[in-house]
Amino acid sequence: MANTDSTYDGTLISELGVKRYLKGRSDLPTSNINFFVRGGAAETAWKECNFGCHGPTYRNLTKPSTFQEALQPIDQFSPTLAGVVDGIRHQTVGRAQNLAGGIERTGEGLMLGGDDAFQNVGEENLAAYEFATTCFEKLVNFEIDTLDNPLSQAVLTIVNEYTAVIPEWVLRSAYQDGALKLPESVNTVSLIKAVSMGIIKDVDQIDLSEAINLLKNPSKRFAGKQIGKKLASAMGAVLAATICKKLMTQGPGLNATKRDIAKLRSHMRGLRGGLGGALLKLLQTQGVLDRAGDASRRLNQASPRLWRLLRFDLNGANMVYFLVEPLIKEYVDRLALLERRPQEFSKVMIALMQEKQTKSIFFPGSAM
Amino acid sequence: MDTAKRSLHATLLFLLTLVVACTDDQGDSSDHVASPDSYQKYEEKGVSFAYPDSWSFSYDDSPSIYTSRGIGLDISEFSTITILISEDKTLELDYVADRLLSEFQVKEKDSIKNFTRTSDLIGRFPAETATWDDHFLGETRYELTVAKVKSNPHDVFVAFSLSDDDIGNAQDHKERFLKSIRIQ
Repeated sequence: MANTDSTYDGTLISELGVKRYLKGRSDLPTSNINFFVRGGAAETAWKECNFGCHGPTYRNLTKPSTFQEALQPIDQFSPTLAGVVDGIRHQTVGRAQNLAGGIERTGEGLMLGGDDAFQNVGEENLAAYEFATTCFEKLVNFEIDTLDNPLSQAVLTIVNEYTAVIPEWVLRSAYQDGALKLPESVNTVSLIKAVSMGIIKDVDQIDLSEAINLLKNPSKRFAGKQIGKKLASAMGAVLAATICKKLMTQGPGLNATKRDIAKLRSHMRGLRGGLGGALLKLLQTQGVLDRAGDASRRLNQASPRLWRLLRFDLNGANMVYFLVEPLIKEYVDRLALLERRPQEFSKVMIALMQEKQTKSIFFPGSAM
Repeated sequence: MDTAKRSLHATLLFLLTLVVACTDDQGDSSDHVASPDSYQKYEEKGVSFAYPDSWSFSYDDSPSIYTSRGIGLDISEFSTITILISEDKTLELDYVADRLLSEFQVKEKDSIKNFTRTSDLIGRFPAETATWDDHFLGETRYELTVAKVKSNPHDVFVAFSLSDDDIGNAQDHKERFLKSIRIQ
């Protein structure tokens, strides 16, 4: 159902994307920084800021390297960024520390430390080990174009994060130019499953049904001045599911991934008991875990938020990210840009629209 | 007399036009070699082609993730053909081949051996072909061929992504398939 709350800021929704805007609103009451401040007020706040204003909560959190990296070039960033960086720290890094006992001691780091370390998984890293085991088991046991497979889950999650931050004015302009062709049919069952599995968040089945009905009626698409935040979020999820389906069926590179998984599946049939551990050892001897760990660290460095979603919300899907990295790296890079330099992200979108590079908005990285 | 000359000139002009029309920038009379009867026909929204009965249609999407329109065919579970139609941009063969090849991560995988890349012709169509062996849990042979089949009215490319037995089985069909593609 469309929310008609008039206190929402349409400009900010357009600038930040509806999902990030809503998340920002929910976090604002517990934040020491008003990260929605813009323009001259933001400049003034930034110049007067001596970090004393951030309060004890801010100072009490320890400093992980990713946050330090984000702060180092802070002088070059816009005042707006201060709030965004703070948000990353609170929402992503802090929680990751609590869950896994430290960013530096992740499962992939442990497994790449040598055979001994791999064989002797410490208790404190048991969760990370379990994540990797479960993830690879599901990768082998489910078809890659089903939502039970962590590969599909990872792609849909990242694409959904991206479509949620595409400003509404970009969607509207693209549609009015005839450049955005919305799907004629939507796999409702798959979408509802994604919601129930927590892959698509902040959207319920009623929103999805309304969004799908709206998409089926061309005359109503983008006709209203304000679609409504929750409905727009649901439409973003529908768009994400459509893009995800295309990515998982049209990329020739996935042929090799499918064949590798089929080989793994065939190989695993011969093993009895301890499937997860045996699978991980096999992947390690084949050099797969090295690549998985490298890609996971690249993802963590580019976007701690996405890494956290894949690692914790999707139970270790960060370890299969390497299989689709060429197809979705640009989505990650743009989300990383938005997290660190939101004004630059906006400039990118404007430039893409002005140059009529609409495909590059919806299929970043693959569009030619 | 003048009328007769004009009539003759008109006839010659008409015949010349026919010849030009039949040999556009990518076409010649060999284009019109009929496909075997066993081939299936596809015709939709200005695009038509014929393909072997053992292949299956997968999708026809506008836009595809790569270009304005993409059409996919499955040769097997692990081998596909992709037709890429670029209506809004001129694309070079090298560029398209590079982009598709990057998805296979041949440089990143330690298990890749014997990588080769050549420029050649399939019939009269310029093509880039990459081959390699992947030794992950046993040896698998891969071949990616990207051919440019049209530049008018749009750039049209065909990518054959093949592995193992499908490489040999598809060779005889490649040229016939490329020649059968028509774009209005």
